Amino acid sequence: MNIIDFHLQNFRNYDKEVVTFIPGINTLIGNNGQGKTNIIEGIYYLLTGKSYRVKREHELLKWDKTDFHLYGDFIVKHHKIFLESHYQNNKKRVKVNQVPCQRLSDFVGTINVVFFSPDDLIMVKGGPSERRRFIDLHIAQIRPGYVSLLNAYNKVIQQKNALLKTYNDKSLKNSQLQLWNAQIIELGTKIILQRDELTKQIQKVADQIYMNLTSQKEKLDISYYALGKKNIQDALLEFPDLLNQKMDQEIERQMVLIGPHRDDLQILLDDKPARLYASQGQQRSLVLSLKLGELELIRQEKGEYPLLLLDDVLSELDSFRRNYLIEFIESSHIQTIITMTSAESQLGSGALFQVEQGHIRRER
Amino acid sequence: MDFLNYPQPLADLISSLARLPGIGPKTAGRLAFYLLQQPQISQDLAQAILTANHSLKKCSICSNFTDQDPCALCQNPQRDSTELCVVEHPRDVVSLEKTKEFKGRYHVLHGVLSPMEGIGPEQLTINLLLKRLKGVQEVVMALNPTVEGEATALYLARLLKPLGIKVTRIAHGLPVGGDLEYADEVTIARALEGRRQL
Ligand SMILES: Nc1ncnc2c1ncn2[C@@H]1O[C@H](COP(=O)(O)OP(=O)(O)OP(=O)(O)O)[C@@H](O)[C@H]1O
Ligand SMILES: [Mg+2]
Ligand SMILES: [Zn+2]
Repeated sequence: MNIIDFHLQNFRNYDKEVVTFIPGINTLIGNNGQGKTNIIEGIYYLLTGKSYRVKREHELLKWDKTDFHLYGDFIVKHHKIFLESHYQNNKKRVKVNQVPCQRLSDFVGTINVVFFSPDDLIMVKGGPSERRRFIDLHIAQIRPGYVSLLNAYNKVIQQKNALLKTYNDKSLKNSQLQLWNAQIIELGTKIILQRDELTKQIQKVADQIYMNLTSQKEKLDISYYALGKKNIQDALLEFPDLLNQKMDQEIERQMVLIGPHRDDLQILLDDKPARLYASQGQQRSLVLSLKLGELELIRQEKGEYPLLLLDDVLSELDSFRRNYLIEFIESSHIQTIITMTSAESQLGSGALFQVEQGHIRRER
Repeated sequence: MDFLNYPQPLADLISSLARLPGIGPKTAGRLAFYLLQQPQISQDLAQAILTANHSLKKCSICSNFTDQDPCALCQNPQRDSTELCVVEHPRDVVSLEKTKEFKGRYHVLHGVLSPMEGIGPEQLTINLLLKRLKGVQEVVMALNPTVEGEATALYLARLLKPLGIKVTRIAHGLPVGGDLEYADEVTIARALEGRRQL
């Protein structure tokens, strides 16, 4: 999977810029606040219809402008794909090869991407939702239909929450709550099984990468906890009982208290919870290993590597880890776009772009 | 919005049109100007809307819109009264009738359970449904494949099954999140054939 060129108009601090990338390593170099991250964010937005950094598209719009435009040419399995994204009046329009897409889920996964952002580090120390997001985004990329499944499940949760808020009496217990519980079990089971399966896959590859990154010194272990349990089969068997047991409490607190929307991933470094003990560099190495693991899994599933976006990945890594990462990228022939400030530039090969105040210039 | 600069009657027309489903302010503006240039069409349309609103009521048996009560379908002796097909909207009856596959009778719920919109069983025509079950052997749920449609089908199944009635639902040859209205006739016909027991 390759990006050939990328156009930004009125996006963040860019007026109108084009970058033509090479199939190998593309380094974006520049001082702080010049627009390196904005390019990566733009590419990610074009490919997924979402920004990692913001909830509202409005912030992506260049100050005082009314619409932004992102488009680019890509190659997927020897086919050329032209993607366009246009945002105006709070509406976004996406076109694939000039054909308008109705729903996000229609094109997510068309062009796969793995993105490391310093914002991802929050998945180590942050709440369970950050970790669920990681696994969900991964599944969405390789399993068509997963986004609709999640949306349907979330709708059930919203409906049940509304029901719990409208009537808070016990009479609900045997009637209407059951209707939604039945769907929580049906859809929730599918979500749990996929999350567990894919977490196990990631664990296998990411552990190996983490070992290499730390020169065999540290061990990474990641596992999915469904309904508070590590044993997924047990959890699923008990799912109906657990829902019934929680019912009184749910009626009292007027919200759904159990289901995969409250599940978590447990991450251990050398058998200790990373959430509590991981250092800055360890957090970065860990997230990086998960992302590189994801990269490998997408290749296995889709038959080619996804595009790799690495924003500000090198800082805080010791020289051994930096060198390992650089070697990994250089030897793997994955198309990579990596940002760094001038001070840390170390990549000897590939294209080099200087980013300065919203302008991009190829230097090598 | 810029149409607020228009003369009041025109602005009113545009904003009324814009309240219709699937019509944005731009289309509403285009329609309004078109109507103004076509007085005869406007007359006919206005008259048709008023007449439809005045003369159509809900059938006292199946709740479908009708100009006579009971409606033509409910009065038709050819229809098999042992089979009852439950749908969300009157427009779904039209979609299903087009396939000519279903020979039984219909019941229109006028919605599905949706606590978020304040729609519970009392807001639907479920009481009417329960009153017309004599002689009914099978109830076919032809609700849209949404989580709300699913919950409604389940709710009805729980009421009907203890009465010894076979409850089936049309197989989801329909896309998830799909609407009966937009599915083509072949898809609906296939879905009707493949109905399974709830
Ligand atoms: N909506 C916007 N309109 C105009 N400029 C914006 C907008 N959003 C952000 N910027 C500007 O873009 C610049 C930030 O760009 P970016 O985050 O890409 O920097 P960077 O090159 O990655 O820097 P660092 O090395 O610090 O990570 C800031 O100067 C910010 O003021
Ligand atoms: Mg940055
Ligand atoms: Zn009738």
